[in-house]
Amino acid sequence: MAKIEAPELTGKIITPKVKTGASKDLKVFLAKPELMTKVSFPSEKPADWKEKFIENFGVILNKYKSVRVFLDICVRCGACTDKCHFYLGTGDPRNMPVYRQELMRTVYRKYFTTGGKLFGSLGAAQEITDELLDEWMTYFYQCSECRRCSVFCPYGIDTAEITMAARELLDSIGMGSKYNLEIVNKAETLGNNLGMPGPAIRNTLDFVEEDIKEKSNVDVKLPMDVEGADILFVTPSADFFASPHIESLAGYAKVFHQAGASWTMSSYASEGGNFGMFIGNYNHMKAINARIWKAARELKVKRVIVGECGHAWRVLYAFSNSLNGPFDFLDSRYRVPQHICEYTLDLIKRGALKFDKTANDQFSVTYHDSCNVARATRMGETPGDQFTIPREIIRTVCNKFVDMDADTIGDRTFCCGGGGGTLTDELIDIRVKGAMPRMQALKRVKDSHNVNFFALICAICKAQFTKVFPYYGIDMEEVGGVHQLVSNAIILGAKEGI
Amino acid sequence: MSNLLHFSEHTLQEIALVFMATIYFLRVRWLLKWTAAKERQPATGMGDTNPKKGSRYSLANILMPWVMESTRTKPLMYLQFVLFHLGVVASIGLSFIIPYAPGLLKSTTVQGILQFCIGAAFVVGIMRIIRRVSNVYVRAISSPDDYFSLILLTAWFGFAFYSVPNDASQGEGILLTYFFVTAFFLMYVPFSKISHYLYYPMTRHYLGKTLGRRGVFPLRRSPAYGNK
Repeated sequence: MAKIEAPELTGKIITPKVKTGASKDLKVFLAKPELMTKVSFPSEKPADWKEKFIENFGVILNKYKSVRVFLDICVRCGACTDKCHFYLGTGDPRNMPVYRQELMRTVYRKYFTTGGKLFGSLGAAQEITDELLDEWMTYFYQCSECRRCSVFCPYGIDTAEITMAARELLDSIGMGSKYNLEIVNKAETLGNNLGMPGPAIRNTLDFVEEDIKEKSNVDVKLPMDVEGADILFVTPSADFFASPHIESLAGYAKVFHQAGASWTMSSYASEGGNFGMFIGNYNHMKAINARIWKAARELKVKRVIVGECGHAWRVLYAFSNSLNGPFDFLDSRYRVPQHICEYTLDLIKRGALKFDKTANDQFSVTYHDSCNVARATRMGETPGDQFTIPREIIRTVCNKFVDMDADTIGDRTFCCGGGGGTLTDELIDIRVKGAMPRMQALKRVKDSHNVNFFALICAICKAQFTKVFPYYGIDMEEVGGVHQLVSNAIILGAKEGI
Repeated sequence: MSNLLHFSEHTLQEIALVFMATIYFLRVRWLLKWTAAKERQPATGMGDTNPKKGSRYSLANILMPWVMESTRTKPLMYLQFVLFHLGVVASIGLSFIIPYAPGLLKSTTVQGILQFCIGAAFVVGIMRIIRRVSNVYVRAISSPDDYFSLILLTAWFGFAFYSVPNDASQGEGILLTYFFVTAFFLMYVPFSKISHYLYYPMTRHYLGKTLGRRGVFPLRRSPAYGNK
């Protein structure tokens, strides 16, 4: 474990004093030229990078009008200054959302506004330089695109969109993040973020089948590439890999089994996540997303269901139609796509699933709303169902559930500190610090209700918290999925009322 | 009335207004040239929400401080916002009333209303300057334009407050300053952060329309989560 000083857990989220440059040295690794070329970006910064940068900036401003408006409309009222978990964790003013945006805004003013052209630095306009570019590379990768600041912005400025545009610009002049681009490359070439080939995934599925059989004596199948199945199930590849993800995979399988559903996963589209969104690149996002719909067509399924992954759900729910729609080949009676939590709760409400809640009695559970589910999408029939559905499931399968403080959940939830393409080892310092607000909220319910199970529906949150919990002196095994709890409590074999 | 005061009340204001209108015309034309992206996301959500409702809600939420996090949690900031912007409207209105309808200012009620709005805005302006200078967080994010625009507006409120009686018998200094600052203000606005109000209705409309279509607006806060 790297030597990182985690903030003290007091149960209080205190806005820190400004510490200029506190996190200036926490940078992502740059992608090597070969990798840049593989993902169709310039291999390195060209000699005429400034001209290219300004030209590409202009293209982005014309393409994404929202970015231009967000750059123009901010009045620096200060409403967002204490809302970012990375600011709260580090005190670096560049992590105040508005001040991070200013990195882009100053350059925008210089080249694209009359005031900036006329008044220069007096008009807070700044030429793009190597040093400024370095700051971009640092601080735009210290934004997890969680959009909490946007909730508090009177204008609704979407900081995530600015971050995405900045990352796209950096990529366009040969400055990419190794971590993010490696994943994009793997997802596009091998079908999943972890680069797992089909046989390896099948091996995991076999293992899960055997494990369920051993524990419950029931043959629960995890099918792959079954043509003609009703449901294509897409989940983050982390679910095929390790704890605590794989436990939820068992949970999904048990739900499908108990529902008597005809379902399959796909070795071709073996990834729900889409890092194309994190780097703000439309083409990559579209290419990764297209694999899922291609698999759905080829397997002739009727519906698509998505597993526990926050940004996967966002891309699939909010962008799929624009990227690769329409999906008129699917059964129109079902929403496209559906979240596994919607599916499970629907079965629960119809009495199709039975649970032994005492199976989870060793747990006192709390639930963390993942950013992309909470603020970028929805579930169910009514606004806010993305908050109620997972909680209803937990309450159905557990006896002890408690929510964290109201200003840290729902649409005001804090990011885990590892989202938006920041879940990489070189950023572990800021990930630990960025997790601070969530850890303080957790500390309060641990103290008051002995919480020992931290339920999630996001693969990145699961990976992040298992990594940072030990820095705060909390056992990483307390992290788990909502469907892990479902898996523990579901009674297999007692099918009724479907 | 001196020639200079007459010039500042009429010709100077007209030049400044024409300048501002020209810049705004170009900006609005530029804004309207943008065509909204094609919305391929199918309409979702409950039957009682649609793009029109979403747009209306989004445009009106400036009048509903309880629906926005930034104002629900800080009602005093919202009060400041209201007073400050009422002061802007009153001060701009005054620059038209004095030259074109000075008779209105014979009414002490009209004078009282204008001075209340402008005076309150001046006080808020002072509070905002203090906050921008003394609040370490706000200071960290402030640009020169933030300070300059705020000081300019606050000073303008001050001169406007004393110009309300439209009485030059004690000297024309205050009125002259008010009109010259107004002219400068009109010409500076399009290049400063103050032009945010031009974008505001457009962003609210498009945001509301899109989210209305997606069934997000009007947002109802579900009481179903949180501890039971």
